[in-house]
Amino acid sequence: MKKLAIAVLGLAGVVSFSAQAQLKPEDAIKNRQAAMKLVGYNFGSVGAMVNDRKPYNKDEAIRNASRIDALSSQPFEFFGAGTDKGDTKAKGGCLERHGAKFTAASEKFQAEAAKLAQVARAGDMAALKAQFNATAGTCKACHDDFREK
Amino acid sequence: MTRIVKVWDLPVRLFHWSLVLLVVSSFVTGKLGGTWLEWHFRSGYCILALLLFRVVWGLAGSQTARFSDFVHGPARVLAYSRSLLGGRTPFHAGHNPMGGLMIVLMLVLLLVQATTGLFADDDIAARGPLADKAPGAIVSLFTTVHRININVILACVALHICAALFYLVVKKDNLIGPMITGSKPVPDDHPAPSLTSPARAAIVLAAVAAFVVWLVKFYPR
Ligand code: HEC
Ligand code: HEM
Repeated sequence: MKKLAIAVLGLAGVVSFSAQAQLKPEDAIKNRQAAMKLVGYNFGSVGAMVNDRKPYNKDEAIRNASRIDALSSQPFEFFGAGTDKGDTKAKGGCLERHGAKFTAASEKFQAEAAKLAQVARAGDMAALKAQFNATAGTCKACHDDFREK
Repeated sequence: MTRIVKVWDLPVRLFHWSLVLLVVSSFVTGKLGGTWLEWHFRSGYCILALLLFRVVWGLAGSQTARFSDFVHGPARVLAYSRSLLGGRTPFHAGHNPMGGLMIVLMLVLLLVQATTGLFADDDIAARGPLADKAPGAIVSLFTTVHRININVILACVALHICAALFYLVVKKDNLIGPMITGSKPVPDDHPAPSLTSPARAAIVLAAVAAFVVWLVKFYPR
């Protein structure tokens, strides 16, 4: 009887897990932070070039900017239900409670990131700097609203 | 009877009013963020140099600038604050005991602000010049302190301004004018404070400015 109960519970667990087909909240949080970190790493590299903190290298700028573009939607797949608690600085339930506003902020960023990749390929430093600043504005706008201090 | 006496030396007055301008510019450029942080850093470095200057001047400057002249124990501060409510307050050529407390408080808070700023990282485009020298946990802790401490500073500034207005309106004692001109009426039985030569201040300022330049430009390389 006891064994049967365990088997049933176990099965129920498997079924509910696969029905959700989702990550555990703490893994979702880790993933989005990792994605943000990679965006941040590449963005920092472009920033160092446009602000004269490291020599400009066109190929590297293109590589950084296309990675940002490719990753730009990735973090936002990990803001689902239950991910507002734990080791996170995201302000309570980004998507659940602020859905439209949060999504709008992420779309603005994605649009600027796509432009950043284009501009990097053109190889004009002044344009790259301007587009870097425009993109940085979208990071800041979202962090100001949705990330704890 | 009173006579007009110089109580604040030029270095203290210049320190005070440049600090006012620089705190405003640091606050505004910090909140704007983004590319404004370039100016925010410069403004912060100037504040850091001023603060270090003021600490040295508090040890080796004019009489009214010295900590020994205006830092008192809790008993003196309490007694003074009671006399404030009672109506007749003892005369002070320099800072009164409560003002002295506020100065120490603001110097400490601003030093914390400038120091944490050197390690701060906005996670987007700007890193303080010392952020690469410290472990990540320190960087994120200091960034958080930098963002929260500014609110404490604002509260102190507000209190400081309210106190000056309280003296002006209620106590009929203008503290603001003397911080501009340097002079105020002093009772005849009070000696004039001894003031140190501004040349010494210039040497101190040059030395701390050189230190700040080294700290933010050469040391991080
Ligand atoms: C639409 C909102 C949004 C946009 C746009 C955005 N971020 Fe974020 N970012 C967040 C949130 C929310 C967190 C906190 C995640 C957490 O702690 O769970 C975060 C965290 C981070 C982190 C810290 C990751 C960690 O925990 O180590 C970095 C670095 C970062 N973002 C960089 C950037 C950069 C660079 C950009 C722009 C190029 C950007 N972000 C754009 C919302 C956004
Ligand atoms: C005492 C002088 C300073 C004052 C009053 C000050 C004030 C501020 C304020 C108000 C902010 C905005 C915080 C927010 O987002 O709410 C800020 C951010 C910042 N400051 Fe300072 N600051 C000072 C010195 C410095 C110095 C010396 C540096 C480094 C060189 C520095 C680096 C930064 C950075 C990197 C940020 C961005 C952090 C962020 O908000 O994400 N600051 N500062």
